[in-house]
Amino acid sequence: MPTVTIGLVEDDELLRESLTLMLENVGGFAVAGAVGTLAEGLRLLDRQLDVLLVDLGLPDGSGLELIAEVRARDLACKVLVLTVFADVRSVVAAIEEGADGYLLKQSDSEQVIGALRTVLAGGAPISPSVASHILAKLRGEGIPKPKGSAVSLTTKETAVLEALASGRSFKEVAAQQSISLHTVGDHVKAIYRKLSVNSRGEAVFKAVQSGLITIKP
Amino acid sequence: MYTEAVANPSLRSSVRQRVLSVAERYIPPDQRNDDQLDAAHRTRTGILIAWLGIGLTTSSALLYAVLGSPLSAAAIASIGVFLSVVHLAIVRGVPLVVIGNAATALTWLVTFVVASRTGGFNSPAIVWSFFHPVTTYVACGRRSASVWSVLSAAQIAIFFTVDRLGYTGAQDLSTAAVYPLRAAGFIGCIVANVLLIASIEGVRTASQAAVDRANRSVERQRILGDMHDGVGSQLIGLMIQARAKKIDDDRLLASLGSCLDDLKLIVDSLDPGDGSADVALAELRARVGPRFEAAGIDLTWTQVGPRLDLPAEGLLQLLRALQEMTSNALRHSGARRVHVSMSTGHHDPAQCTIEVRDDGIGFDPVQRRSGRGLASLHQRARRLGGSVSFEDARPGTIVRMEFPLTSRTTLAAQPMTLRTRFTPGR
Repeated sequence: MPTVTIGLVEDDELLRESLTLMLENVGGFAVAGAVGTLAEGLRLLDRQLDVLLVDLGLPDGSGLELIAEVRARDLACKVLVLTVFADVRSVVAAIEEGADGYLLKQSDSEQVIGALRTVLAGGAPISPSVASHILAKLRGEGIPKPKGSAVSLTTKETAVLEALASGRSFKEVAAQQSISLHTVGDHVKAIYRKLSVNSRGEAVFKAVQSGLITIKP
Repeated sequence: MYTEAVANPSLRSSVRQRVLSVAERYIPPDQRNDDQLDAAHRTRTGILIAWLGIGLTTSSALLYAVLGSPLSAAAIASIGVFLSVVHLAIVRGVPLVVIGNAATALTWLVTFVVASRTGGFNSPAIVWSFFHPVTTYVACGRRSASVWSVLSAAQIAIFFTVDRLGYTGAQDLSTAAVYPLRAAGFIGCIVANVLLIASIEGVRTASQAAVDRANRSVERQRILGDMHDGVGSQLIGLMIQARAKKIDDDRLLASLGSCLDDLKLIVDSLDPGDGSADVALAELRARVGPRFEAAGIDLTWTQVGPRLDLPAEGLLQLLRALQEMTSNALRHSGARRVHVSMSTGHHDPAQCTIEVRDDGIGFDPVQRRSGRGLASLHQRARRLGGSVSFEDARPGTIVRMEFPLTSRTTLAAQPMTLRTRFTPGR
């Protein structure tokens, strides 16, 4: 298996060092760069990264900008947000920018490796509150929907999301929905993608509405 | 203080805002239940009417004095004097029903005096009688309003009958003065009624906002205090032990982990997603699940019953209790299977039951009675107004916690409603 190249952007020095150490000690992972600011993070994107771990609150800006830049450059690298409690607002904002999930800062090395392997295999971590927030959001609560670009979840995706929102594990959801564990991850991944597309659709819609951009007929 | 009220589009006028901010001073900050909310609303209404009344009586008294009826002017001024002390009465706790009815009685008498001095049925003061039912309706409720409707009608009828019988009473005013006074009376009554009706919705919104604010701050205070005593002191304890090198790394890690768990519970209880306890419970379930899996214990979880709504404080106690019950089963039971079942008012709509059942070594009440974890479980159950019981079900243990879903535990979740006496536009 080829070595997985990881970029780390985290302003807390202690955490940055311990994460680097943790990853370096596990076979198969290499930390290409561990930096503490948004500016350095942007420079880090020039390397060939497989995974980018990013903290949202950076001294010179938000990690969200970094995620947007990864998606703007159409880089193949997976993005995980570093968070303490997977709080809904920051995680959903990051997913809307195109992040692939989140990583809890207090995780031990097994959990970190587990989360990385999940993401590399195409899955995505999700917490019950994030799931329930996405459900509410995609059901279109209080948001004007742009015509044509509005996304909706499939019946299966909604069922998976509802089960996850009630605190069930991937394993339980897989058993309940009679699908494989891998498929649960695929569904979450698809939901995340739709959410990110939706937010971009919304952004365009709002820009058109406010006259920032005009669409030629 | 008035951000919510200002944001309400029905509160555009700065005059209205000023009136409200005056009324605000008479609302104690700790009004927390529905009755008090109603009282807050009515108090504001009372103050609003008093200010409106003072303005009207002062200008009318001046007009009557200038146009030649000093007795009428004095009588009208007495209403102004009465209304100016209304705020003192409200602060002292005199019910608005009493104040409102007293003020209306005084106004009724004054109308009588002024009308009998200024031409009886043809007096410009007769028009005031139409004001009484509306103000009493807004301030005191329907019953008072109907009484004053009858009394006002009776007053008009008396003057009408006296006039028909051919008696002409005293007339202080010249014919030229009657017409402008009558016009002023009409316009004044219409303006006052319209102002009153238009302000009620704003007053209602402001009262609701004030009570919500008070609710939130009381709840927050309690949880902040709890944080200081809980996580705060636990961290300090760990710091002292670590400094003295009296704690090994494993115990330090475990204790820090439990601090973090508790912090997470506090965050979840204060920010429960969709407003119900369900998301916070789901978060707990998703967090403890992997720990059981790592220990090779099969954890199943069932929840039946309607959506559970708890105020933050109650939710925090429930989350902590569940956290303790599950981690006891995880660490001490030696079980291979643990089942958590929650009934949120399913069997008994007034009762929430949580059961953690394991197939482990069983429970020895004598041996475990002194445990610190169990004492805190009892304490949490008490704070929820319920109880906890331990059952030795060899093989295994059943820990059961029950608490009532009364108005105390569900207080903050219930949308507070105002018993508005008068809601225009509906």
